[in-house]
Amino acid sequence: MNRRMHSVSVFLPLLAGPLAWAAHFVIIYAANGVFCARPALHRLWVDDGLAAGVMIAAALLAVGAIALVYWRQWRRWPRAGNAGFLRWVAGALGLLASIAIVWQTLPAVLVPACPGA
Amino acid sequence: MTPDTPTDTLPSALPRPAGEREQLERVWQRPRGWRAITVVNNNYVGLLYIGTALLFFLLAGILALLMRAQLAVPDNDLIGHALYNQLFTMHGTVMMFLFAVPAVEAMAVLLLPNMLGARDLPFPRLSSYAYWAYAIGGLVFFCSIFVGLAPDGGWFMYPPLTSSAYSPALNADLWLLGIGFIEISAIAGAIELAVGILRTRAPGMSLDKLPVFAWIMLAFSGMVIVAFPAVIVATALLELERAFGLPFFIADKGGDPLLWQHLFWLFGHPEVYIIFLPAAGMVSMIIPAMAGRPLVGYRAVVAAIVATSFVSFGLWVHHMFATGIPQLSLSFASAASMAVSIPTGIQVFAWIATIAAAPRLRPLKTPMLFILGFFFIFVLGGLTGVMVAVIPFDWQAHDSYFIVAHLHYVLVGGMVFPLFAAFYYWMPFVSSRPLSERLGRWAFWLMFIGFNAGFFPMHLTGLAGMPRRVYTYADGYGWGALNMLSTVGAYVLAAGVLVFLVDLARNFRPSVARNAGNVWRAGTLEWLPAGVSGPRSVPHVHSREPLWDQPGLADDVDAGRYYLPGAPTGERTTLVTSAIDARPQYVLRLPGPGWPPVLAALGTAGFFLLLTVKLMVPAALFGVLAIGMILRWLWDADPAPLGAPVEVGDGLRLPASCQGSASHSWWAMVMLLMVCASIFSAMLFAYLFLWTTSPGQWPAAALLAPLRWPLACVALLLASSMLAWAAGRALRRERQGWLRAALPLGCLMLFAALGLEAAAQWRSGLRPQDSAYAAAVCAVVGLQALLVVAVGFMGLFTTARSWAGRLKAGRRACFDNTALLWHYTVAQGVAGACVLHGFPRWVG
Repeated sequence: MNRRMHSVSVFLPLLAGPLAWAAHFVIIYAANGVFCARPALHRLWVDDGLAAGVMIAAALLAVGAIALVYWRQWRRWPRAGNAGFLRWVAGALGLLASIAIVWQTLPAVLVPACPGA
Repeated sequence: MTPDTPTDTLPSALPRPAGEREQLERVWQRPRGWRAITVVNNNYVGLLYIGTALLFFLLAGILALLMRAQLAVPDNDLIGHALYNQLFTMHGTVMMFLFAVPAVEAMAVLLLPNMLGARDLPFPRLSSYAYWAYAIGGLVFFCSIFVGLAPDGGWFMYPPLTSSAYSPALNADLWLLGIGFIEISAIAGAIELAVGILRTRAPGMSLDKLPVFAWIMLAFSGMVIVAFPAVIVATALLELERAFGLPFFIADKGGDPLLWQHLFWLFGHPEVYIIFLPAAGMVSMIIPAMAGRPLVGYRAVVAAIVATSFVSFGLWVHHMFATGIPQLSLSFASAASMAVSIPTGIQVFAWIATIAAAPRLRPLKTPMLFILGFFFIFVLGGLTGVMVAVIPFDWQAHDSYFIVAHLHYVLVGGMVFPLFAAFYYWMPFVSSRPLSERLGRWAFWLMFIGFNAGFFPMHLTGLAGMPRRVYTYADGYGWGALNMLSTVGAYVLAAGVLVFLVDLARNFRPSVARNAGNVWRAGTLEWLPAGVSGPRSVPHVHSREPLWDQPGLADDVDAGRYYLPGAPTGERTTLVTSAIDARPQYVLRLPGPGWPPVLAALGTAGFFLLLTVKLMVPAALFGVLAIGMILRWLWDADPAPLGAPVEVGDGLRLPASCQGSASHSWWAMVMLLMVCASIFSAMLFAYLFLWTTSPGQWPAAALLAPLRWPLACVALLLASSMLAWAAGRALRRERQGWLRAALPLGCLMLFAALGLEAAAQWRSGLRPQDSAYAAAVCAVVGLQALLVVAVGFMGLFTTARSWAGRLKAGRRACFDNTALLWHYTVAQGVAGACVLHGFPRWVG
């Protein structure tokens, strides 16, 4: 076992897209759940637009993270087998995840955060 | 010769030594007579597994036929409401837990090793244990309907209906305890499959050459590891509420019925993708073989599989659209539910493109017929799925027969039809005779027409207002004709299944060693000529369809010209390869048949089922049997190293064991830790969710235990970690004495930390039955207690091995696995202490 290529160093960047999607989803879902359960915070969350702001910021961070990891990993994919394969799959996953991130952030600007009064 | 450079000479030269093939077959021979149930080889366990899953399919199907008979006409009195509730609950529960997931797991157990070029799965005794626990537990569970004890709260068993107030009898407990341990069986299988896919492949089978079915089962395993713990936590919490009055779901005491729904559907939605994706994987194997060309868009399909497996975790709230959750939160789930159709669509288009470009598809054979049926039915189900992803539409369709129609279209279309395609396709692999084309056509058309006649009308009855789970309906609604059509369709579907059974009886002659051969002229490795040991030698592959691209491969493999052409250690062995590029790394010595896994499974099943009926002493005895047999099994695990490397090919010698983080055992343990982390996350979710909905229950800082208590706990935990680490260092230097002192002392510290935490909570006035907050704290501490007990067992077991001379610097898997769980338990304990003592102070 001379040239040990840590599997984690391949699988983590490969899954950067879905992992960023998951983190984004957990954050927006948890934030909305907690804020909506606290009527005292509704004015801040709903009326003042904090909800939309937080969610859009989280989306930008998530998509940015996907792009950053993909760019940094560009030359670091292992050559074994077909190097292009891992890079392609990582890119496709990043793209699919970004589409899903945008799609699930859209409701923040279309729909009121908490049930109406 | 380095194994990863393609050479003109093959790894093993001819002629092979006399008796090599015979020795290989002897070592892999299955046990005969009554010892046959001790079999561990994946070929046999896989067949038993599929047979049992098929049996549950038939049993649950009969329950459905009874329901349809009752619903055929309005105001029917064939079956009363009490029995009807048990029928639909058992139909759903058995289909989802005892048929669907086990069936796809069974296909993987049977096919994957051969498909990957391995001789067996990496933990054969674990496969046997998982199978028997499932078979015994499942059959006893099913028999509950004959004594009126079957659960009757719906397959998703919502409280408060299933709380003790409204379901006082044992029926609900049977579901909670029975299903709980069957999930453990499924998790064990998933971990084993993942390690097998990542580490036991044919050399040269890098990730880009992995069969699609293997990619999918890898995604499946990941999903099981993350999703199943949620339902285990849910069932544990509800059982604690029913048995001991811990009010997790009782609103009056600060609990929340929605907590159950969240936990259940966090499992339940990924569950349906756990069921669908393997079926899609089978389709991705069958279509290229029938079409005679590789799958179009392999890379896109791999990306789609991974994307689907992740995004499916965002959909769970779409089962809760009608519960009053905030609108924006619902919209996230609605968006994710629509988004997940994109990767699914990618797979569908890849299949269509492969068919369109097929050089040989006509005449259509039975597997393709079932696949075309799958396309039609599953796509229709997907379309109604996107319809109900739209929240306002779901509010109209929720809990109506429209949903029944949707779920059956996606499940029967998406899983049952591909499974039947797989039966017809892979039968020549396991049987000396393939199934009949003529009977296959009859089976297909009866099933296809019957299914559509049965379930399409349910879209209409649902939209006309017929609710789910009703045992009868009044004549005046005008639903009678459509229901009659549904009933007739259901019986036609059953007739199709009966034709299949006749075909099976007439043509299935189990044999892997003398199977019917590669009748489809497929390209993947499971179609190599195989004996009881799998392939005669482990091939080196250069492409995704090695049988198409490497001429003469089958003959060369059978002649023993590749790796490991015999049994060099006199035992069952297979190759372990690296995860990314499949370089051979070491030889895995596999166990043969034995009683401990079977008896341990009997003990496990008996323990849980007897607990349900509150027969405590017999339950304890079965528990002792289970633990005793597991210890006996593990005592023989990690055998003494051979000392010399093993020859796997001319000039290529590999070690016969591996220590440390590259070992397959370490990888399995890490995956088990992921399961534990998922369980802990689900528990934390329960705690935080209850705080979100009942914040008033959370104590002010002054009412909490003083900080010195949790600080002392954390100190004890960290000290025990250091002891475990020091014991590891001592082991490396063969200072067994230190280890024999450090491990038990460390275990004591773990128990002491646990005791301190429990005492601190008790002293602060916490009583678990008082409130949901108290119950949640108790659950977190209880989970820690479970892990501490497990580490205690493992620590003492490791010490015993050291005393018995079965633990050395070069034979340390037992210690390494114990250390992994140990440090995880410490980390979980520290995290738990931070949450229980820090969170209330932070928000208070």
